[in-house]
Amino acid sequence: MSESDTHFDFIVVGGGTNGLTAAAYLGKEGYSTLVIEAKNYLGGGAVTKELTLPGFKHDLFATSLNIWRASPIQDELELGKYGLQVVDPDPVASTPFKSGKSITIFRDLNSTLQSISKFSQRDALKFKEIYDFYLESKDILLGGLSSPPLQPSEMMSALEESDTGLDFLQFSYLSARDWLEENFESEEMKAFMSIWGSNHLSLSPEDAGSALIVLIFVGILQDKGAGVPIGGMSSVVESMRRYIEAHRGRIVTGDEVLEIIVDGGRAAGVKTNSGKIFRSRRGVISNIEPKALFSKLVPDSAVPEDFRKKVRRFRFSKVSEVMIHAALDSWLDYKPEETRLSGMVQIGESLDEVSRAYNDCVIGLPPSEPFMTIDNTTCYDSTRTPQGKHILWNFVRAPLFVKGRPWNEEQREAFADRCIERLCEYAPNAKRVILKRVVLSPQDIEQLNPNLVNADAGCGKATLDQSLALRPFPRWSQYRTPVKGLYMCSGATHPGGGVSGLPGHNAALVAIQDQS
Amino acid sequence: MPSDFDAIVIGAGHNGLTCASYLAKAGMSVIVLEQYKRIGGMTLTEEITLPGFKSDIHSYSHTFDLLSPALKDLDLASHGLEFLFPDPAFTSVFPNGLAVSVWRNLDKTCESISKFSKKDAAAWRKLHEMYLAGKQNTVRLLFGPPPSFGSLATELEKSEIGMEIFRSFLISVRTWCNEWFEADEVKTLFGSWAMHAGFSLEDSNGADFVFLITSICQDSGNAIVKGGSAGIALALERYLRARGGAIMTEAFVENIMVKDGRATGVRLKDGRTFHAKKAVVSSVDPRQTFLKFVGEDHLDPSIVRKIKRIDYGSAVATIHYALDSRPSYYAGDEANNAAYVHTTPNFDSMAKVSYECRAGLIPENPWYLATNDSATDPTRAPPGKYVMKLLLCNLPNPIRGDARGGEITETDWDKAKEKVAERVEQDFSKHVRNLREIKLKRVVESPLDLERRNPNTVNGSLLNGAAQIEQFFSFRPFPGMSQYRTSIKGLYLCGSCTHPGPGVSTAPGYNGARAVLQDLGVDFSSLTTLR
Repeated sequence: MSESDTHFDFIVVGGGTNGLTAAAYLGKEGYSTLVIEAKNYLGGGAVTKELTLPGFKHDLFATSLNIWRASPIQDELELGKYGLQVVDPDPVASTPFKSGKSITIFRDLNSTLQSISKFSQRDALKFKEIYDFYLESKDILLGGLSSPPLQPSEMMSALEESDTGLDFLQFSYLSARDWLEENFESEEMKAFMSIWGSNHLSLSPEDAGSALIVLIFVGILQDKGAGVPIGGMSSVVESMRRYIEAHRGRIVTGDEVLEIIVDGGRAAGVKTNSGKIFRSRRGVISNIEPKALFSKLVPDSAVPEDFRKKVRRFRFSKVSEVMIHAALDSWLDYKPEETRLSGMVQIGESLDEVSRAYNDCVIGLPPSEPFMTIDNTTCYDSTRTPQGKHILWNFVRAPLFVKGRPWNEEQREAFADRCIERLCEYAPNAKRVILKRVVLSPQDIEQLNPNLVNADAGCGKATLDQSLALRPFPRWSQYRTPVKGLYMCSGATHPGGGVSGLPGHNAALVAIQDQS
Repeated sequence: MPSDFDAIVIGAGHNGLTCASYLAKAGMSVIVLEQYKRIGGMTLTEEITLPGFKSDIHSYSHTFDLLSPALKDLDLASHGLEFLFPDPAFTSVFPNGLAVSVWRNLDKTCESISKFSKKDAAAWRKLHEMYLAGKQNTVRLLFGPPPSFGSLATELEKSEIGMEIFRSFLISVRTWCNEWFEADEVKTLFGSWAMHAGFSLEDSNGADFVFLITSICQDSGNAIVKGGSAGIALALERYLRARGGAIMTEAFVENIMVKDGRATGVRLKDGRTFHAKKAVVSSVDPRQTFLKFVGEDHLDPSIVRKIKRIDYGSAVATIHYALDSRPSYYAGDEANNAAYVHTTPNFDSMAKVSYECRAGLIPENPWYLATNDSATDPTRAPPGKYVMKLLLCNLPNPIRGDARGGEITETDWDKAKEKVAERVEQDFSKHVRNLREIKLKRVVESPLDLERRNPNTVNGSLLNGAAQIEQFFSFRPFPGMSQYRTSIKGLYLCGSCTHPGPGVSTAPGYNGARAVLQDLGVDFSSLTTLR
C-alpha cells in the first residue's frame, strides 16, 4: 500500500449522515479524508432496505427530510449534481381525528389556516401569529442549529438586553403544554402541535423547552415542507458518498474501528478489525456516540477521570420507539381526503392523550393509546415499490423496557397489533392492505444499529441539561475532546439527533478552524 | 389611627410582616393591612376541627427560614418564636412496613439509608459535604435579588465546578436521584420533596430544590414552631408593634391609589384611605396587586399580558384530623415521631401523579404527606389528644376527570373533596393501624376552600406562581419585574411571587424591604447581619 492509502488528513469513524457530512465539508476545503464504516453499507440512521417483500424498499429508521431542509448542507454541497432528488409532498402533514375531520399543513399558508379554522377561527389566527414569529426569528433559530452552540453567558446576556429578547429567553424554557394551552382553544389543534415535540424529539409536552422544539418543527414544515428523497434515504447517503469521493475522500465499509490511536496526547490514527492501521495527519472525527467512543475506542489513560464521569452520566432517552414496517397492497384510505395524500400523518386525539402516552413510557408502561407518525413516501416516489404498491412506515413512541425487561416477540407483536387497530380507526383498510409486516422493538433497532443506543433517535435526551452548551457535556460542547485532534460529530452533539447532518457540519467547521 | 404612613404593606403573612419589620427597623412608620381576621397568611394556625386542637392551615414545617438573617436581625426568639426540632426530620414508609429517614444526626441518617444501600449512604454524605461547602453562597442567593441569567452564567462559566452548578439548575429530580442513588426507597425518600413544590420528577429545575431543602433538613432540621406555624407571624407582629408599626386585620383593599405614575396610598372597601409617603409594598400575587388593586389603566399592555399568563401552579388540599390518642404507624416510632411522613410506595408512582394532575385528573393515587404535629409539640392539642394533617399536593383545579376510571364523577371541588379525602384516608389507613378508631373529627379543605380563606392561595395553590424554570430566578414573577420594584413608582412586591419563591423563607419580604430602603438611600447593610 502506498502512503496515500494509509495516511489521510482526517479520518472519520462511522459512515452515518453526520460522519459523511463532516467528511464532505473537510473534502470541500481540500483535505483528504477516510470514512470507515463497520457495516457493509453507509447511512447509520438513514438506511433503505428490502425488509418485507422483494421490491419494497423500506427506510429502516429515518424517512423524511425536515430539519435537513432548513440546513445549508444540500445547497452548499450541491447534492443535486451528485444524484439527490427530493420531492415535496403537498399537503405536508396532517392529523386526522375520529370525528372524520383533520388538521393539515399545506405548502400554502392560507390552506393551512383554512384547515385549522374548521376547528377554531381563533386558533387559525394564533397559528398565523406564531408562524410570523417563526419567520421573523428563523435566521437566528436556524443559524443557531448550524453553528457550534454559544456559551450560556453570551446567549443570555444578549437576550437580556431587550424586552423581546428577555421574553424569548423565557419562551425557550416553556413547555409545549403551557404554550399550547395558553395559545390554542381546540383540543385538536393542541394535539396536532404537541405530537411534533413528542414524536420527533423525545420530550414530553411538559418538558421545559418543548415549546421551542414544536415551534421550530412546525415552522420548518410550513416554510420548507418535508422532503421525500427519491429512492429512499439511502439515496441521500449515496449522493454524499459521490461528493466525498469526488473531493479527495475515500470510503471503507465492512471494517470496524477498534481503537483510536493516541500519540503524545493527540489522535494520530485508527486501528481496525481487519488489522489495518490508518494514520491521520490532522484529526479523527467520531460519528460514534461518546459513550462507546470513550469506553471502547479511546484508551482510558488518554482522558481525565472527571471527563469520563461526564461521559458516563450522559443519558439516552428511555422513551424509545417501536417501528412498524409493512408492504401494502394499496394506500391507506384515511377518511379525510387531505390526510390521504399528506406526506406525513400523525395520530393523537388530544394533548392529554399524547401526554399520557408519553409519560406512561417514562415509567415503563406501553401506552394504551399510542400516538404515532406514519410517513407517506410511496405516493410521491414510485421507485420504492412494485407498481401500485405502497409502504407503511409507522413510528410509535414506546418504552425502552417493559416493566424493566427487554421486549419479547409476543409483547412487540401485540403492541403492533394495537397500533394497527388504532390506525384502522382513521384508515379503515389498514389491516386489510398489509401484505407483510416487520416490527422492530427498541432492542431490535439497537441491534441493527448499535449507535442508536436505546433506539433513541435523538441520540441522547434533549432536555435542557443536555442541550446547547451543555451538549453532550458541560464545557465540551464545541465538538472537541480532551484528546487533541479528536472531535465528536454524532447526534449526541449540538444540535442533536435525527438526519440533519448539522452535528457533522458543525464539527467540520471547528476542525477546519483548528487548522489555522 | 393615623391615615398617613411612610409605608403601607399589603398582606400580613410572614413575608409582608418581615418586610414591614425591616422598614420599621429603619425608622419608618408602617401599617400592614390584612384581609383575614388573623395575621399569618400561609403561616396560619387555627382550631379548625375541634376546640383546643390547633391545626396549621397551610405551612407546617420550617426550613428555609432557619437560614434567614431575619431571625437574628429582628431578634425573633426574644419576641416569642420557639422552634422545635422533630427527629426524624422526615421519613418515607413503604407498603412492606419498612421506613427510611433523614435524622438530625448525619450518621444516623446514613445508617438508615444503609439498610437499603451502603453506596447511597456514602452518596448522601458526599452530597451533604457539597451542601455545607456551598451553604454561604446559597444563603446569599436566597437573601438577595435574583441575578440576571447573563451575569449568573458569566460567573459560573469561570470554573469547572461553576458549570456543574449551572447544570444542576437544569436537571430533573429523576436525573439527580438516578445519578446519586441506586435504591428505589432512597430515591423515593428524597424525590418525594419534588411534590411539595409542585415539581414533577421530570421537570427541568426540580433537583436543586430537592437537594437544598433536604440538605437544610439534615443540617438545620425540619423545624416546627411551638404552638403552631403562626408563631412566626406572631413574633414578627411583636417586633413590629414594639417599633411603632401598626397592623389592621379585616382590612379589605379596594385599590392602590396611583397618581402621576406613583403609588400614593391604599383605599379600603369600606372607604377608608391610607396615604403612603414613601412606599406601598404588596405581598399578594401580581394578578391581585396589579389587575385588581392598581387597574389596567395604569399599566402597559405588555405587563398586563405577562401577568395574565402567569402559571399559578398545581393545587393542594388538606385533611385535618383531631385524634383521640397517638396514631401508630406500622413502620413504628421512626414514623410516629417524624415531622413529615411520605407514604408514596415507589419513585415512579409520583411521576404518575404529576402527569395525571397536569391533564386535569384527580390522581388515581393522590400524593400526600402526613404531619405528626403533636408528637413533638403537645401544646397543639388538649392533654393526651393529638392533631395531624395530610397535605395533598399536585391536584388539578379545575377538575376535568378522575384517573381511577372515573370513579369520582364530580368535577366541582366542593362536591368532590370528601370523596378524594376518602380515597386518601383509605390509603393512609394502610400505614396507620389505629387511624379509624382514634378519629374524633376530620375536616377537608379543598383548593376552593383554601382560596376562599386566603385569596393569595391563587387557584388553590401554595406556590403563588409555579416554580418551574420559566418562572424562576429573574423570570419571577415575570421577565422584566424581578427586582421587587414595579412599573409604578413607589410600588413594590415582597411576596412568594418573587424570588426565591414559595415556602416560609421570609426571603421575599427581606429582599422587598431591601429594595425599598435602597431606593430611599438607606444603608441596608446596617440593618442586617447577613454579609
